[in-house]
Amino acid sequence: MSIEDRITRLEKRLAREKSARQQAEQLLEEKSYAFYKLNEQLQEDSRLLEATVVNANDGVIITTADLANGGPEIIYVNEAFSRISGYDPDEIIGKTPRILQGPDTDRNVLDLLKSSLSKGKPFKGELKNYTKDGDPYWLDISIVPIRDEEGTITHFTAIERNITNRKNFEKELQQEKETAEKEIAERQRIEAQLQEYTDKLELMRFEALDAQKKAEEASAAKTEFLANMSHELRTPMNGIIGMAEMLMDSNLNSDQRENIEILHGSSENLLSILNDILDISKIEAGELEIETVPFHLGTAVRQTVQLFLPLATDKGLTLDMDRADDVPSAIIGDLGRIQQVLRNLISNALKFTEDGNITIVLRATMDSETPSLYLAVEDTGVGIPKDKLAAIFEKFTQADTSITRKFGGTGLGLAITQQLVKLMGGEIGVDSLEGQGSTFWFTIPLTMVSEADVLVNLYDDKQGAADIELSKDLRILAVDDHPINQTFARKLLKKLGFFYVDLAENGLQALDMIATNTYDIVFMDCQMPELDGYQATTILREREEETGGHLPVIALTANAMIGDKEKCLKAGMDDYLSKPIKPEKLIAAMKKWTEPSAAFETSDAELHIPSVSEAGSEIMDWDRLHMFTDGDQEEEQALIEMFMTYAEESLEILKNFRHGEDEEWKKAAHKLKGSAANLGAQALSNVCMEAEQSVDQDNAAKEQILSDILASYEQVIKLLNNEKIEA
Amino acid sequence: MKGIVFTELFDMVEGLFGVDMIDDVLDDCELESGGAYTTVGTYDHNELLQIVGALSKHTDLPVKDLLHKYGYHLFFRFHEIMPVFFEKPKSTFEFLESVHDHIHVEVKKLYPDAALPHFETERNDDDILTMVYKSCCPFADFAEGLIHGCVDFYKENIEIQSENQNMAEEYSRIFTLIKQ
Repeated sequence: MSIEDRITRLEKRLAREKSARQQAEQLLEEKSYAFYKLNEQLQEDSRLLEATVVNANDGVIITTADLANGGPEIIYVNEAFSRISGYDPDEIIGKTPRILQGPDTDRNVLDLLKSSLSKGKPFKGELKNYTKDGDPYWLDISIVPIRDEEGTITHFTAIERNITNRKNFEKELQQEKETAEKEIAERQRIEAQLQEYTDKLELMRFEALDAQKKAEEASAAKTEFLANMSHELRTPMNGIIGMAEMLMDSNLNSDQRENIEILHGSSENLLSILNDILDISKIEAGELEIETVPFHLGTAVRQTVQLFLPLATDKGLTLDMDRADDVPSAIIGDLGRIQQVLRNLISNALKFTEDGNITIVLRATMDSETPSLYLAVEDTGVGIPKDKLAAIFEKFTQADTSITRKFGGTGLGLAITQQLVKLMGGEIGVDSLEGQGSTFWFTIPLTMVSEADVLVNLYDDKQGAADIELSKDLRILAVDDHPINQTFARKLLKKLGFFYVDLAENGLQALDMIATNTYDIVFMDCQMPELDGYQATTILREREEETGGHLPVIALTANAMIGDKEKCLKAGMDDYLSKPIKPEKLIAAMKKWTEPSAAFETSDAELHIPSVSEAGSEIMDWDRLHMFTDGDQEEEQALIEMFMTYAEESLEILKNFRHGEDEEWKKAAHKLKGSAANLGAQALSNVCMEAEQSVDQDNAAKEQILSDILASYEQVIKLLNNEKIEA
Repeated sequence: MKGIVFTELFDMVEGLFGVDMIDDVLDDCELESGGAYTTVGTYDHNELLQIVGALSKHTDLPVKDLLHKYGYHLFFRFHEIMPVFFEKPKSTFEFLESVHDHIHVEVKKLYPDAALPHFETERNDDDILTMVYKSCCPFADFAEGLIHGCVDFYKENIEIQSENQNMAEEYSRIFTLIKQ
């Protein structure tokens, strides 16, 4: 090989080596950079891992894997471990973890831990350790063996979590659970007991239902008993009243008269109490029926007010009517119940008023959607204390128990009144000022009706009917099983001038007598043995269908319970009268049902238009008198006579002023004042009021007043006599 | 292919045939790298095939023999260059078993881009080891040389049977080592 060739070859070799060196340098640089980056990454990873471990909330301990000899040796702990255990790293590193254990550390768990680790398996469990200060704490510990590349275990890493709170919480939970279980058991016991009570209650409910049924039956029985009882009581009462009335009409000396009057008054009183009791029991039993029939309102109110004139006059009270012009004359309603309500209210007013007047007010509200009638009784009496107002309509309640002693009464009157108004669909109320007076008012729905439709209280109106002359030859059959009633009926009829009166004890007997005799009218009791009034009438009507003719049969009902009227009419009776039988009712029925007389046609309203004397208007207010009588001559006469009787009595006392007591003078003046006012003798009433007020004045003054009274009285009498003559 | 395979080959060629042989061989080749190799570089394995091919031409020795000889030589060189891999294995079987699980793992750490062949071992019993060579390079002969070197290194009496797999015999081969 030439030198040149060799040089060329060496140069090539040199170039190769140079190239290789450059490659190597470049690779080295790349590798260095890669290592640098890797190292950086490792440092970062390491930093993160270390931060994680150091700052972990869980304690981290790394120990050697030396299980034998002195046990593993702690080579690392993080901050959390120091926090949990109280050991600083320099106090614990190099020591064995066994120093963390204590008397309550569970040996079984430790054994399990050792056996797991010695087999190279991880361990997980709960363990009690102790702090440097000796306080126990619970750990949830997780130990993992760390192996080298050959798989040899070189270290253990323990991660510990302080679960003392959780343990306590678990303990609390356990306790709570036990408490809850106890509570559940207790509740179950209570529920069982409740069930037992419920069963008992159910049983009691059944018993109560049974008892209620029995009570209802008893109540029904009581109602029936009361109805029957009142029937039984009223029969003898009617006997007593009837007989007393007859006695009063006979010749008696003044003592006897007084006794009979007391007897009669007491009987009437007792009967009214009986009626109250019957009414309230009927209302409570829901058996009271409200009728809706057309009637004359004015007549109804007037008749009611009239009843109280004697009593008012006797007490020296003025009875007044204040009727608005727009109050209709004919309405539909329950005549009897409206009169009953008015009676109760007026009677109350009279009872509690000593002085002044009682005004019956009538108003009508027509323009509203529900027209209503307003009736009120205003008095100037004692009034009702404010705190008693609310209870005034309650049963057995009076404003004051002393009232019972002073004024008497059952305490049922207003309760019944209220119930009646309610049943009629109305309202009742009271306005009162103690010491000033009371206004009891009530409203009822107003249904107007044409006057031509009014049937009910036409014959009660003495206009027309009064003129019918009943033949005294009427043949009458009275059927009643009760001897007292029989006697009473016969005596009453005879007293009224009817002498042809036969008596029958029961329906059978009555039918026999009707078959063999001729009668114009029959008064038939309803409840009788053998054959009752209904059945007897039914048989009679059947017979009449064959024979023709119609014998008027008037039922005499005692109990006036719901359906009685229907029952009577259904049986074929023409009318019914409820006991007690009053002469005027009896006469009215006879006039209505016996052959009508031509007298009906002769009734002339003009006859009754009162003649008003202009000159005498101050002395005599005729309008006022007519308000009560509606121009009825007979009634007017009766009122005038009553007035004169009272007036004479009072005048006698007044004339005796020199010898009599002042109190008597005052009383007499008061009484005459009322009588005069009720009659319409306003001037006389005024001068009487002066007399009443001048009770303390000397005799000369009294003398003067008396002469005024007498003069005024003379004028009244003169006018009244003129009126009589005119009539 | 790692540069060390080239540099070790050149060292062996220089020792056996003199430095000029390397120049002759390289003159015959057309190498992308220009024949400049460093131990840490990575080169196309075809360059090795070219070099061995050229060497075979200049020396009149078969490629197969050259590769086998080089493998045998390299095993001993490995012991000198990387004694760390020889610390643990105390026998042929142990060493061969550590190749795949240990040595290659370490090599991968150093040279992540290294394309290493598969060396799966299976100990049938204490005396028989089966080793399967699979590679993307056709160097089964080179591998066989290495195995022979290993047996001689541990001075053991082991018979090596080789069995070609499929058609590409140089890419895949099963070796069965039987202790005598």
